[in-house]
Amino acid sequence: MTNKEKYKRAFSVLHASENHILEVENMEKKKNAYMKKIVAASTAIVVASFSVTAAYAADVGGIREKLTMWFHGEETEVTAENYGENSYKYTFTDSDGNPQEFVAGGVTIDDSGKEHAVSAKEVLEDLSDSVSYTDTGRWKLFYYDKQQKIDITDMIDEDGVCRVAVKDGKKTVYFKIEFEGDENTDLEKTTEVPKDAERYTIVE
Amino acid sequence: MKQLFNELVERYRDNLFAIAFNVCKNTADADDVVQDTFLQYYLTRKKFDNEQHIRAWLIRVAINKAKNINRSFWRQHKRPLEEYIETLVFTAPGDRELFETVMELPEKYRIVIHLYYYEDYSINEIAGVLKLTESNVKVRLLRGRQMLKEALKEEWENDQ
Repeated sequence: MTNKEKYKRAFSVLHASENHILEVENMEKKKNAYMKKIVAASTAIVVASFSVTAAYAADVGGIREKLTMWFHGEETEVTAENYGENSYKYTFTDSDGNPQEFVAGGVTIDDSGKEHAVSAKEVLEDLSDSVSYTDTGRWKLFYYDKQQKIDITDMIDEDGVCRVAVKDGKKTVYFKIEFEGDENTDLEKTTEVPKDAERYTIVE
Repeated sequence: MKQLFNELVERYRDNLFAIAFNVCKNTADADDVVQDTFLQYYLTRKKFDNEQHIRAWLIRVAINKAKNINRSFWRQHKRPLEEYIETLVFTAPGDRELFETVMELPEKYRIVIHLYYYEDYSINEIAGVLKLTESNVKVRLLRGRQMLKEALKEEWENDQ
């Protein structure tokens, strides 16, 4: 018996539940429920925003900041609000018109080891470095500071890792991108020279 | 259209469940993935070239949805895998060990192994579904096989 036959036999024990009815008629019902869910989700976001704003207003006057970020290579308007210690809540509308929100934040650590809160804009700039898969089947790294798109497809090694060093004036920025499949990527960025710097492809 | 949709559901529901389970390790989540995937197919305006195109799209969507569930902070279904495996009735000796060994592989190897051995996809096709390079897929397949061989010994042949 081949491995494929063994594998198929072992996994043939898995079956979708009969309780989940998947006929067209039910899809129509689910479609309507799905639309209602989207409306409900939008309402929830507004409510959440108001409650966050109210809490923040009590502290520092309810400042909301309008910013722009690069989302998958497109300039997008974002609203940022304080969301507690060193973090911000960002809301925006994606290219398909869907409301999106996320919370992000962070600190920088100076030479003496002291932590400093970063601004909403700084957090966003760091997040705006992104990796995307294009319609032409190529992977592109978008480096926010230089507004530069870099084709990294041929830099991905056999382990699914891409190391690229981008020369930006006097500094060099090192990106390490791990590809997990299905457009999922884990991006690390540093200006400190990595131990394996010789493995990085240098891009001007 | 209705007939085609119902036929697709009948033909692929177990396949989608298997790949979703492979990612989520949980039947309730896998059932949700199957349902949501078919709902997305029902709602999409995407034009498909043929049934193989539909199949690849369904599998890809199911994998993405399953991964999203794994990442979700709100994940609710947490029935232990071991508990579920106890309820399964394997038909031949060694099947349970193979099943458990596969489920213990890291996710990135598990998905590639499943698409190759269960869905009969080629390396090129897996690369297309997962949007990885062929060399990435080859490495994952190779390492996944090595792990299976190491655990299963003579129960697992050396594939090329």
